[in-house]
Amino acid sequence: MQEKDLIKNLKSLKQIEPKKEWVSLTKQEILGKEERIPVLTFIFNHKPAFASATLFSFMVVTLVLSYNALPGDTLFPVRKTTERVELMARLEKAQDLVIAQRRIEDLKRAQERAERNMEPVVAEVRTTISEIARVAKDPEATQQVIDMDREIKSLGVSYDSQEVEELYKREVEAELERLKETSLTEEQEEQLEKAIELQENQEYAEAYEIVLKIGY
Amino acid sequence: MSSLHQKFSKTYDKNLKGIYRFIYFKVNSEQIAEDLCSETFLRAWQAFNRDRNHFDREIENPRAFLYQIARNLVIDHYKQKDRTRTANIDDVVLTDQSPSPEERAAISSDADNVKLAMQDLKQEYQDLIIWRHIEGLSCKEIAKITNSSHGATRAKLHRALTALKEKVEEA
Repeated sequence: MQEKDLIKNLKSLKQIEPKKEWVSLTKQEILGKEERIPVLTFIFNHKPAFASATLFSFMVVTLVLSYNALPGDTLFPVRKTTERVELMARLEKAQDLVIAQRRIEDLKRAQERAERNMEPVVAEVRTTISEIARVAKDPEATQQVIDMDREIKSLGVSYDSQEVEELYKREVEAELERLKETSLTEEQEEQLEKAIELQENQEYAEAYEIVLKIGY
Repeated sequence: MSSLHQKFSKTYDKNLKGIYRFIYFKVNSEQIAEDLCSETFLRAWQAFNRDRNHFDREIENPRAFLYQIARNLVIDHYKQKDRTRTANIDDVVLTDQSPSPEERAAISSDADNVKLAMQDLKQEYQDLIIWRHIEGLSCKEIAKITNSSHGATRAKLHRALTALKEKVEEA
């Protein structure tokens, strides 16, 4: 291919554009209520009351539809943006945990639909859980992330996240140290040996389950 | 609408498609491109609200400001992707390599081959080719975004195009 043909082909790639619907909805979500879409400009200028009602209805419909959107749906980016804006506005400390819980609910809803493409749903869950696992420092947050991971696995979804693995490792190390100093029954001692073996094989999530069974 | 909104609204309208394409060519997935693109504008809007004077200075060249945010988000996206791998669902391909129906209708198969070959280039070369030959930015503006000299930018651009040509011929 000649250089001029190469450049011509590159220029033609400019024809790739985002979906118009997504462009206007994203702008609405970012700029909020004060932003107006062009088709409504005339109405806004001439019939303020009607315009307000129209805009309100439009926003309500969009938000309601996006509220039920799942990863992979056209309106899902709108829902994600809405959640971010909403939670930032509230300055909610546990916003990431709230969002992660919502992604798990999405996963459950998606599993109920037989024809649903699970790839984007699982990818969203994995990304969100990994992100909160990365920043989880205190015991409470760590426990919440582990609980979420166990809930996801109980749904039959398995995924690998180094961040979550790191939390299990931390918890297992702490628990095993504590158990080694505790009086245990013969059966519990056997379980403890098994957990230590799993820890040595770096199977921390499995070791964690056994530590839980020991019951201390 | 406040002047703040008007100003940002114009910036959005003027740059949205370019930023979307810039991200799309790097991640090769409509969904991820949409997510990262909206995040780019959301962060720019937050910066705008947080410190208007600061934003005014940065927005001396709004396009450069947005491309910098987008470039960082793409880097973060790939870092995140490297960190998180699937086990049972490890065959899940997060990027959709095939063109969408709209895209198929818009571009020729040669152009599609060029797009795919571009994926094999290093990030710096991808950036330069997208900015210069797809978005039509001047070498001067690219030099500003990359914080390098005009001459160095031209030289790198030449090397990037040569590398792309080789990749297309290899394919």
